[in-house]
This record gives sequence, C-alpha cells and structure tokens, in this order.
Amino acid sequence: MIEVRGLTKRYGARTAVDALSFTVGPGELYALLGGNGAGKTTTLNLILGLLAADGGEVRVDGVAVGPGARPCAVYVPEVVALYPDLDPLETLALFASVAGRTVSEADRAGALTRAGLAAEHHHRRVGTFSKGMRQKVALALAEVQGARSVVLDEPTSGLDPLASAQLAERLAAAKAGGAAILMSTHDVLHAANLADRVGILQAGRLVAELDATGMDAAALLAAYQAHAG
Amino acid sequence: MTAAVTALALAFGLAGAGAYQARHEEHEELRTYGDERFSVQSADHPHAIAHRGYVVSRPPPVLGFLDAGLDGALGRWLTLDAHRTRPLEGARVGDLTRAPGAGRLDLGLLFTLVLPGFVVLLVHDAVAGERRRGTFAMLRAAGLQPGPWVAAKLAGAAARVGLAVFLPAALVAAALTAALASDAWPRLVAWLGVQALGLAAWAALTLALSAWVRDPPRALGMGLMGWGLLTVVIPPLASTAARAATRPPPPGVLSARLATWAESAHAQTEDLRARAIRDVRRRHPEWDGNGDSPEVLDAVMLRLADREVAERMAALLDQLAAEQDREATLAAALSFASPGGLAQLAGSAVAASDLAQARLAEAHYEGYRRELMAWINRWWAENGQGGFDAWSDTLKDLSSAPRPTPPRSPARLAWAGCRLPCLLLLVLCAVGGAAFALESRRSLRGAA
Amino acid sequence: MSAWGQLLRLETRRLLRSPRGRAVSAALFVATAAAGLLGARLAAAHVAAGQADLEAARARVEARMRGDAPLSPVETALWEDTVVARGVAPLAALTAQDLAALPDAAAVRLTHPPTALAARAERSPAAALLGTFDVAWLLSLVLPLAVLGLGYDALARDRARGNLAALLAFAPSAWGLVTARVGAVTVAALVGLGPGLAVALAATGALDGPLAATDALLVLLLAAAAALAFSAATVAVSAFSARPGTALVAGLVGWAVVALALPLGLAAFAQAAYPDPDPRPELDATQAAQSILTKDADRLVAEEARRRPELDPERAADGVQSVLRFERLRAAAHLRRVQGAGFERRRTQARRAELYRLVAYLSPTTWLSHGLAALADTDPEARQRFMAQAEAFQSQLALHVEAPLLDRGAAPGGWPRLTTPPDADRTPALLGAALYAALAGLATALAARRLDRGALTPAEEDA
Repeated sequence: MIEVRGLTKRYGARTAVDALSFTVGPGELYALLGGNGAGKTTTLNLILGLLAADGGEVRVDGVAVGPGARPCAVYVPEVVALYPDLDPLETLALFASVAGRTVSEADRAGALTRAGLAAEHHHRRVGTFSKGMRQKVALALAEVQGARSVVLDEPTSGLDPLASAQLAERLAAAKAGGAAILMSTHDVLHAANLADRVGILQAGRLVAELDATGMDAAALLAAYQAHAG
Repeated sequence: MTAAVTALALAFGLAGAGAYQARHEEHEELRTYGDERFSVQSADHPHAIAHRGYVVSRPPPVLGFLDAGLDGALGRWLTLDAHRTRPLEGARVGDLTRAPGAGRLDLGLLFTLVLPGFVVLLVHDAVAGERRRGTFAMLRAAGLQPGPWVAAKLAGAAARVGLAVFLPAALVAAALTAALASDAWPRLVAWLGVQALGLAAWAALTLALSAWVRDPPRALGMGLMGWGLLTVVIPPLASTAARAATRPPPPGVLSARLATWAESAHAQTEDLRARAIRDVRRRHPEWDGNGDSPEVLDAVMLRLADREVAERMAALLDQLAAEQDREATLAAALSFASPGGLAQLAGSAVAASDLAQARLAEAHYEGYRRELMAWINRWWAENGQGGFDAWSDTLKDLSSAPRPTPPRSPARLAWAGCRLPCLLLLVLCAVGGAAFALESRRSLRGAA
Repeated sequence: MSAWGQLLRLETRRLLRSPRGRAVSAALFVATAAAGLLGARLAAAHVAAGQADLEAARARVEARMRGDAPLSPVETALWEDTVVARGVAPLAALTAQDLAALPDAAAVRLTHPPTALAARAERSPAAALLGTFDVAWLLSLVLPLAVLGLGYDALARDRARGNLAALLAFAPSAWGLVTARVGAVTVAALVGLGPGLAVALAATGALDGPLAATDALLVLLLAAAAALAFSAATVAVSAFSARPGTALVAGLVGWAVVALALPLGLAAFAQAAYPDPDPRPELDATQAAQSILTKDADRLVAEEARRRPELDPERAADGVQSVLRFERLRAAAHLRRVQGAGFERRRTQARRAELYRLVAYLSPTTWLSHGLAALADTDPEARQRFMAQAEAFQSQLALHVEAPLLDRGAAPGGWPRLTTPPDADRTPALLGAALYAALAGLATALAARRLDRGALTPAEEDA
C-alpha cells in the first residue's frame, strides 16, 4: 500500500510537487497522468526515497519513507536496463543477494515463469532481451523480493502493441495477487486500459482524481483536457 | 578550459623557467670559475695543465626553460684532461624519478602530456555530439556532402584546439622566451610548430574516434583512456624495447681498454722511437740521423702516443654514439603510435636539450682539448726539456686567450633530431584525418 | 554459499563477461608479462655490464702485475682501477627504470673516492626522457588506469539507470553491495594481473640468485592490496557521481593528480629542499689536493705517518719499500682531502634521497613503486648504499696491498673482488600493503555511506 500525504518538493522558487496526496491500495493500479514537466518523475522519486521531500509524508506498506529509509518496493524505470551480461536467473539472484538473501533457482525460475518469461529465455543474457521481456524480469523481482508495492515509470513507452497487452496481463495478475501498483504515464489510452484510478497532475498539483473503471480512452482524454488543458 | 590551460601553462612555465634560471646562473659562474682557474694554474710543467684537467661548464639548452629534456640527467660540467678520465660530472641521475619526462616540470611536459587530454575533451563530441543531437541526420537529409563536412569539421577542431588549448600555452612560451632568450625566436617558432603538430595529431585521431564511436560519453571515455595509455604506456614501452635491443659497451670496459692502449702506446718504446725518428726526418730533411736530433725525441714519441690513443678513443666514442643513435631512432620508431612521445623527442631536439646537443658540446670541448694537447706537444717539441723557463710566459699568453664557447646548437642538428618524429607525427595526422574522412564518407553516403 | 559470496560471484561474472572487462584483464596480463620479460632482459643487461666492467678491470690489473715491468700491489691499487660491481637483486627486473639511474659498477683507486661508472641513464636518451615500462611503472601508473576502466561505472551507471534504488530497496545497508563491487573489480583486475605477475616473477629466474619466496609473496600481496585500494577508490568515485561519464572524468583527473602531478611535485620539492651545493669549493679543494700527488709532500706524508705509524717510510727495510710506503701515505692524505671536499655534495644527495623516500608516502601510487624498489634494492638511497660499500671495499683493498709492505705476506685469495650483495628492505612493502588496505577500507566506507545517506536519483542515461 502506498500512502502520500501533503507531499511537497521545491527547487528554489519553483514548486515541482505541491501538497500532493493520494493512496494506492492493495490490489489497485493507480496511474499518475500528466504532460511533460507536470512532476510525475519527481513524485515517483520522492515516493521511492530517491529525493528528500520538503514537506509531507510517504508511507509504503505502512513504513515511512525518508532520508536513509527506503521503501520496500520494486521499481521498474522507463529504461529497464538491468545487467546485460547476466541471465534472468542470475539477475534475480543478484537482487536477492544484495538484500542478504539467497533464493533457490527453482523459486527464481518459478517467479520468472509467473511473470510471463518463458523457460527457454531463462538462460539467455538480458542484454539480448526486448524492453517487454526486461519488464517481465523486473516484475518477477517483486515476487522474489516479496514486495507488496510496485512503482513503474512510463512502462508502456516504447512497447509494441503485443508487449503492451502482455504487460497489462502481468499487471492484472500482480493486482490480483494484492500488489499496490503506482504507474506514471502520459499515455491516455494505456492509462484508461490499465488503471483503476487516475490522478491528473498539472504543475505539481493533483488537479483531479478519477475512477477509471469502465472509463474509455476518449472519456479519459476529455476529462484530462478539461482539467489540464 | 582556456583559463585552466593558462593556469597550468603559467605553473609549468614558471617552474621550468625557475629551474633554467638557476642552471643558467650556475653555468655562468662555473664558466668564469673555469677560466680563472685555468689562468692561475701553476706553471711548473707544460703537461700539468693536461693531466690535472680543467673545468668547462656545459651550457644549458637554448630553450631549456621550455623543454629541459635530458639536461637534468646529463652532466653540468666537464673536466678535461689528457686521458679524459671523467667526461661528465654533476649529473643528477641519482634523483631520476618514476614520473614521466624524468620528473621535470616545464612547458614541454605540459604540451606533450597534459594538453592532449584537453584536446580529447574539446574534440570528442565533434561528430558524436551531432549524432546524439540528431543534427547529423538532418544535415545528411539536407544533402550534405562528405568534402565540405570533413573540411568544416577539421577546420573547426583546429580552431577550437588552436584558440582554447594551444594559444594560451604558446603565449606563455613566448613571454618566457622574451624574458629569458630573446634571440631564440626562430627556434621558439620551430618548437611551437612541433608542439602544434603533436596537438594536431591528437585532434585528428580524436576526430576519427568521435566519428567512429558515435556516442559522446563513449567517445570521451575511449579518448581519455587512449590519452592515458598513449602517454604513460607507449613512450616508456618504446624506450624499454629500444634499450633491450641495443647494447652500448659497458663504461668500465671502455675505460680499461683506453688505459691499456695508452699504456701500450707509451710502452712500445722501440716502435715509437723508430716512428719518432722517421717523423723528425720527414720534418727536418737536413738531418742525417747522426748527432743530436733537431727535436726532442721523447716529445715526438709522446705526441704520437697521444694521437694514437686519441684516435682509438674517438673510434670507441663513435661506437658508443652509434649505439645511442640506434637506440634513439628505435625509440622514436617504436613510439610511432604516441603523438606525446614523438612530440617529446622532436621538441627536445628543437629545444637543444637532447643527447645530440649534449654530444655537440662535448665534441666541441674534446676538440679544444685535443688542440691544446697538440699545442703543448708542439711547444715541447720546439722548446724541449730545457725550455721550461719560457713556459711560464707562454702559459700567460695561453691563459689570456678566451676559452672556447661551444657553438649555439646548429639548425641542422635540431632538424636531424626532430625529422623522424615530425614525419611520424605527420603520418599520424594523415591517418587520423583519413580515418575521419573515410568514416564520414561511409556515414554520409552509406546506410549509416 | 553466503548471500555476499553469491553476490561477489555474480558481480565478478558480470564484469568478466563484458567485453570491456575481458579486454582490460587481457591487456593487464599481456602488459604485466611483457613488462616483466623486458625488465628481466634489462636487468640481465645491467648485471652483464657490471660483470664485464669488473672483469675488464681485473684482467688489466692482473696484466699490470704480471707484465715485463710488473707493478707492485701498492702501485696497482694506486694507479689502476679495481672495479666493484653492483649486485642486482632478481626483483630488480620489476624496477628496471631505477636500474637505469644506478651505476652498474664503481672504479676504486686508493687515491680517490670510488667513482661510479656512468649509469645507463647518462648514456641513454630514451631511458631518461621517456621512462621505462617496467612492472613498477605498470603497477603505479597503469594499474589505477585499468581499474578505473573496469569500475568507473560500478555504481554511477546503476544510479543513472535507476537500478540503485531497486537494488537497495530491500538491503539493510549498501555495505554489501559496495564491498561486492569493490571485490569484483579487484578480482577482475587480478585475473589479468596475477598470471602476468607470475610470468614476471618467473622471468627473474633467468637472473643470478634465487628469488626468495617471501619476497615473491610480498610482491603479490602488495599488488593485490594496491588493486583493492584502487578499486575501492574507483567505486567511491562512482558512488559520488551521477553519471558514468562524470565518474570517468573525475577518476581520470584524480589519477592525473595522484599518479602524475603528485610524484612530479614531490620530486621537485625534494630537489628544492636540498639543491645541489655550489660545485666550486669542491672543485677547488679537489684541485688543491691534486698537488699532493704531483709535488713533494713530505709534510703531509709525515702527518699521515703519525696516523699510521706502521706505514712510516722510515721503518722500511729497503729503498723500494720506503718509496711504496711514501706513496701509500701520500695517497691516503690525498684521499682524505678529496673526501672532505665532496662531503657537502654527498650529504646533500643523501638527505635528498632520504626526503624523497619519506615524501613519497604522500602519493598512493608511489607506495607501490617504493615498496618494490626497496625489495629490489633500487630505492632512492641505493646509490648511496653502493658507494658506501665501494668505500668499505677501498679500505679492504688498502689493507690487502699494505700487507706485503708490513711483511705480513699477501692476503689469501689474491686480488680482492666484490659484487655487492643486494640489500632488500621488506618494511616499505609491508607498510605500503597496510596503507593500501586502510585506503580501501576508507574508500569503501565512504561509498557505502554515500549510498545509504545520499540521493539515489536516476539521471538521464548517457550510455
């Protein structure tokens, strides 16, 4: 579960994120929708503890995030680079060992398979993977790490239609498993397809929060234009 | 960047100038001292001045304040005596450090070691940056031809390197020349030309790298790693390989050989006596061999012996010099991939701080020594053992004559020293330019 | 296998699988082996030169004592060179640059202080101008560069891509990640360096004298400690950099300062602190002393005879003995004065070498070269030590030739000869290894602290 209360971040005189509040519950996918410079990436960095906030509070799975206290969340950046010279099994092992844990190969293979990566790819180097396949490895991390929260930055950027559909399936499966998923995007179509709720971000402020269940892309676009236009 | 280069040039330049100034003052003091000591020596025997030896100071290199080269590793003064027991003294070889350039701090080291790094910083994104920004694709779509593109980029790189890197350091070099050696302008121009050629080679190679690698950070990384490797690996590797391939004769063996020759020449009394008589008869045909000889035979024998030793010694020194030349040529040839190493070799040749220049001074003093020995022998032959009373006056005349000053480094010597490295630098410029042109042509006309 | 062990294995595998990691490791192997082989060849050349000098002088001495007009031992020791060779330790193959600046031999006569025969650097433009590519050069200048090439992006690339946050999300501290990355860079460097050093150490077998196993182990320990410290410093730079490019440039600037500028500056400092004294007083005194050898020096000989009454010419059994005793005492008087004339110069040189040895500890790259040089007996004070040994030999030679004069008969074993034994000092190598370990610990702690407390913000990816 991700809880954001009055989150504020200033760069000099400019306020990048202004008293932002929202909550992403278990089994929910929340999309932060906004144009370039709206403050989406800054918001994600604040939630992940990568930036120090000037005000407000972030709690991930009930634990406050702050300086030196990172959230136990899986982060899938826009460019999912991972380590090109390792295979997916080794990648999961590496992430687990950084946390001081060892996970059996069978468990890692199971997580990868459940994330949608076929067994024939488990011993190929990640450097040869498409972005969609790398995203699957990143989502498998959530299971291996035992994370209940997932943060994705522009996950559909650069994906072909098939890969986008597969991502939607994986996210739906993760949701069904009870994960709280926060995703930033500027793509109205994907936001409408994937999200349960959509927060519209404009100049660092949350100008609207919509229930996207059953809302089609055209309706979401109209709402977005109404609030952000 | 210009400010950084200027600050570094001032620091390196002033350090070099300070060391040169101290060296120059010491040279002047030692020269005066040597002259004075020669003139006040006791006149007890003509050969005393030959065997005691007298001190001459080796002059500092003409552009030693810019490029001290080998100066710190060579002797600062020479003691000349009849048997040249110790040709070089005052060397600082015991202090040689592991730092490049024998640990000297001067503009020569700045040009060959530090400034190439700045060239890489300036030029690495000349083409890769265009690709990254997408302007290369736009220019290509607009019908850009390889010729103008290559010419514009080469001219741009030259202008940027020239103004931001070369000019500030060159101005510091010019200011130092005006202050310390105002008669060395032509040599300064040649020295700056060599350094410009070295930087041009770096610029051309970096430009080719920028065209080939296409990504600015990667081009920067490869360029800087290349700079590090080419400045700290190739020159010493070339020097080491050259040293491993050449074997100058050990100095102790030379010394033992010389001593044996000197002794045998003096010891072959009968042979020398016969040759001395023939020599006296040749110069005094009226002498029938009976009665007293017109010259003292011992003096003629000594002259012959000295000449024989001198000739053999000259042959030995020539052998040593040939090995040194072979080593230097090999080192230059092996460091062909390093513009820094080549510019260092060429620069020290032009600055008159290489071995050839030191050898020139030595040869000059050796010539003077031989001339003096010959003069003493002649005097002895003419005046004989009984003429010592006149020696005191003769010595006064000799002392009043000015001591010889070694010639300023002739241009031919500088040219001989810098010819091969400069040629190789030109080749590197051409290779870099051609690689850049070919890659550009391929990119603009091909499917890149 | 523990989690950290698995992490180290995966990090090392990742690094060694990348083309860059393989290229750097292979290059380190080739360069180290080549430097070792070339160094061994150069060291062998120095040994040969010293021995050739010694043998040539010895042959001449023997010929002079056996010829038609044989010289007495006193006359031979007075007027002919007896050459002593500088012993070259097997490890000198790793520090061949220093060998170029050291004399291979020294000529000894009873009349003058020992004269160092011209070192190779005095006769080799390339050695003095361009340096020597030996193992010490490679380890102190190239190894930091190679390690930088291996690890400059160890953390900066993860930060730029946003991986750092994901990696550390579940870790209690960054210490495990940082130590594993430092370890991986070290192992990748040692994969090339270790076999290369083994080849270099094996190449020293071609030289005279066995290589002590302790010394070989110390070389390996010092190199490994240096690789660890350079790796930790590189990873620390990477931890403080937002992007790999920034880390690379910062690392190269640091390398230029620590490996190039600092040694240059320290050498200049040592030179400035103890500049060469004015040579004129020494030349004057030497010239004045020369007259002792060319003039009647009865007064000086009488003075000298009071010091060494057993050599007093008055006590000689015959005229020849008396003349030889006179010559011996005259030579001793001359030597005493010439030694006094050169005292200031020798003291300055000794103090400068001592200062240089001390200030060298200010630059981490010279810990290594000085540790190796001390093991190989080629450190800055090696010249002074050799000349002191040559002086001791001179005294031995004097006693040898005085024996017949004093009716004690010739000393056993014929004309004395000496190749000085190498004098290895292990302390600087051990100290260097300890300093490197401390530096590695400090740099690792700084990097971990930076990741634990600093921002992990991803930057725009620049690779």
